[in-house]
Amino acid sequence: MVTEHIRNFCIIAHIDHGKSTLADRLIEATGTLTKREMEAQVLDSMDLERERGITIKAQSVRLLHTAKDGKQYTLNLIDTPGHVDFSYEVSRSLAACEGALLVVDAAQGVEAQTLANVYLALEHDLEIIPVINKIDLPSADVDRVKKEIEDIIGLDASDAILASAKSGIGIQDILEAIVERIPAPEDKSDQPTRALIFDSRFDSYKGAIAYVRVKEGSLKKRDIIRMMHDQKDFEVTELGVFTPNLLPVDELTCGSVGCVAASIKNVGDCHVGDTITKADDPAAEPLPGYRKAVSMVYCGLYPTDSKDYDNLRDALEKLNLNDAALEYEPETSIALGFGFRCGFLGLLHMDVIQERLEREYNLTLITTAPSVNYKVHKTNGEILEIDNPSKLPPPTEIDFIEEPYVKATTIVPKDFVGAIMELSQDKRGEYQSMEYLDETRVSIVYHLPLGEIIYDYFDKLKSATKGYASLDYELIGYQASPMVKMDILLNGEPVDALSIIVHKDRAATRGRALAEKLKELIPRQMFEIPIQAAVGNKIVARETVKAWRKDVLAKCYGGDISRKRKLLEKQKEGKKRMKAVGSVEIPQEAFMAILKVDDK
Amino acid sequence: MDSSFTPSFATTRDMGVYLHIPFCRKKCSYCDFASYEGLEAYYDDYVEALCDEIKLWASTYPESAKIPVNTIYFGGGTPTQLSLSQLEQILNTLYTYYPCDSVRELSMEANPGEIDIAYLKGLKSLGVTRLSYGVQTFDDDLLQLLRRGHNSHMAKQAITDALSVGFQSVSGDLIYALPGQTLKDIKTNVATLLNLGVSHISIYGLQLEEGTNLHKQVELGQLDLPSDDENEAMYDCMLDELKAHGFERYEISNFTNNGSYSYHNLRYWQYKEYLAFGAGAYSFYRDMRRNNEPYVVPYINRLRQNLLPIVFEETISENRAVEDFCFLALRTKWGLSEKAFKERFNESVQDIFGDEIEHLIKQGLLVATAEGWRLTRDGAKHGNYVFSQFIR
Repeated sequence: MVTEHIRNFCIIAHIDHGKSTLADRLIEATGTLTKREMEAQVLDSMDLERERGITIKAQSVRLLHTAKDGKQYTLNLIDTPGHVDFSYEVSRSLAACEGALLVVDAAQGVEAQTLANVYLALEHDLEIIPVINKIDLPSADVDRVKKEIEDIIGLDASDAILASAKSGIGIQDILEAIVERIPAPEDKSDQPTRALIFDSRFDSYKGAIAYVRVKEGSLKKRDIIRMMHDQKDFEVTELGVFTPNLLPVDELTCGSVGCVAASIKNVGDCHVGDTITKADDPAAEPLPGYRKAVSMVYCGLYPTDSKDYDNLRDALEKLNLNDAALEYEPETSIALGFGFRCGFLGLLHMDVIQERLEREYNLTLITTAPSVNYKVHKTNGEILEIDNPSKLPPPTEIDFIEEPYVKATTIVPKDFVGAIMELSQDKRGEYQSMEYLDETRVSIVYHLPLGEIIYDYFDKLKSATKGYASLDYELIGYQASPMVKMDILLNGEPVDALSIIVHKDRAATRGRALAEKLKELIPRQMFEIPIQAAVGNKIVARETVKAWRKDVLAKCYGGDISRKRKLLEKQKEGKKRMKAVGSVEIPQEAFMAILKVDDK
Repeated sequence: MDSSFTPSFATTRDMGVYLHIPFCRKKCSYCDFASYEGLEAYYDDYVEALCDEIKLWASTYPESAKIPVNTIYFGGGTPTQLSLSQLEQILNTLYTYYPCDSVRELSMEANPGEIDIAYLKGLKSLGVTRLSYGVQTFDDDLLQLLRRGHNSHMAKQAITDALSVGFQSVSGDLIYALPGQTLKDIKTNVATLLNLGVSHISIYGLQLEEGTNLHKQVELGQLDLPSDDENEAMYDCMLDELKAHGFERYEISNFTNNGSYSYHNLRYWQYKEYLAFGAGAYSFYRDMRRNNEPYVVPYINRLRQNLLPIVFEETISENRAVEDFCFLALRTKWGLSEKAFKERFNESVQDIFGDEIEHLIKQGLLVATAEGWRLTRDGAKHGNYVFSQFIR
């Protein structure tokens, strides 16, 4: 059986519970890399990932392990991103595995994030091996943690592996357990090829590279492959495995994990979740679970310095090469000038992109309030898709507006059912169903307006459930809702970049909250600045930013100009992130103020 | 006086000379300048060192000694801590090594209560044209709190004496936003000072500088400073009072009722050169800004070794010069002149700062003049903001 000596697995862990260290140890113990070659924490390579403690792009590594039975096994460790924005990506990574290591800190025990990911892994029928890590900590309490694993997660922890990734304890046991307990992939090498794309990346020489798990059949160099959803064909130019550096191979056999280069010019032709088959012997059906990456959230990105427009475009182009989920097109704002309307998977995705643009491309950006895509039915029968509130036609031309709805599935320990319901109700949710998955876990399904959940739903969910909830959502369609445009006027002038589309019943509360928030964020200026929130001609909220205090240095310090200048330079630094709109200087954060307001 | 004066920037090159006397009878509680009390024993050595520095500069930078000196300014500390003969020794050294035939102003800082009529007459015969008194306030309790060495009576006497001796220009400094000060006190201070007949006045908001006694007292909660609102009200009140008394604001903190500008201080704002001698003194020569060792004994020692006591120097890049030129010029009533800028940098201000200027005009902080732009009253109040727009 070709798959007999292959094991595909991932690691599930809460931040800081030692996932990266464990991965490093496994890489080291199997001699995949020598210690000298090891960068600390090989897997999280992007700075941003390290800082935020999250994995954005999945990474993979092949480990060769000679087990106690004397045979050599190929262990493929597939890393997974860890945030709801990327839950689809996580699900594809999990679908590429047969098992998972569940790493729990021996002192801290089971944490919320762990639970959410375990739920996902259970949905994919993965064999889960509990690993209790950091057992050499003075505060380690193995018995308590075992009991937690059994009580909260509902897994048998009697054969949990006791380990300390940092000290190298239990590493061999883990490797043996992977071989013994995780099932080998099913051998379907005689069937037409089906390989699951669980990630993709852009290489400037090789084009888009698909990271795949061969589920059925095999892939060889020079095969003509077909992307089953896109129905596009390519010729395989290179196959490889990750050691973790790319090692070229001639064939990816059934059950194995590797990457495929096929002169694919565009990552957009290489969708995560798509199935690769062979053009001359295609499979009948693609693998299940494919979802086209759709932008859920849109916002405007503008350079604070209009001279940076071209740089921003170049940077977006480059990021887009590696991130097909990022959409962008040019737009203009009266307040902000030239920029781009960008589409993202969710708020975190948006945040990450913005931060990468600022850090890696040295841009200073203004991000406008995020919006979803509305379908606006005009009285003349025309239907517009509007993802920018300032583009909404005047009310007299609108027959009705439809907003996108999602099916949101939340899995929580049963004690939190009430909290979820309250929160979802509050966000205009429509209850659909509830199901006990086992004695402890409940799955609740709501239909929710996407516009409500993109803001703070996930954060609220986390705090309402102490973090023990997992959330997945998918777009299910549009429903008519009484949506209105709310304008924000600063100093009497509407600022288009601050407009939002809001449910009629919530306009007043949200307007008040937003005006209050803006008052906090907009620094005092030369003159008093009235902040007004208006729906049509009706002012629903008003606040005032008082005029500045005196600010001028009188002393001349006997000709010490440099000292004076330093003070001015300091002052200037603070002003860099401001955008002058009319006569008002607006700080970057103000455009995102809507994200920081609380409805209550 | 020359009230039709408008500043000339680049036409004829001349020089200002600043002489720093870092001694005080008593160190004021708000002061963080290079000034020290209790160093009487070093006065002679210091004067000698100062003279050596002048000589050494003239020989190190012989070009500087060819430029006619236009203004001389004795600052401190308290220059009048020195005897008339010590001052004379310094001036004679300066006159020996630098061309001082066309000096239009010889200015000196002084503290009330520390000099008598005879000394004043002596100053006059040394050629001093302008006296600037650190009056600060006429409230005796506050004067004590500030550790000033005088009371209100002495201040009045000092100014009366100076005027009677016949100096061309007598100025008084006032500090506002002092602990416990009220608007009424402010009005009284201005009225009292102006009634004495000064033709020039400088106003300074109290700045808490780290390391000063006053700073410590405020930190410890022993003193309360006026709130920002009160501070601003006092500032407005002073401007109103001065205006009502016919005093023209020619620089952010400087006022005169008859064109008695402080020409030396104007050099700072007009991007003109000045040499500086003495401990902790700051100079601007060619495109270099330098400053001296601030402590007296090391300063003297350096000169004994025949070394210039410079502790820091930097070359002002052309880019920075452009910025400095603009924000400094804007401090004065003449403002930023397109023509002067063009002469100095061979570029148009509009090309460089057009957007910023337009925005500041929109905000009501700048106004266009026949020559260029100047601050509005609001612009002066928010000067730091305006100036920072000219820094990139």
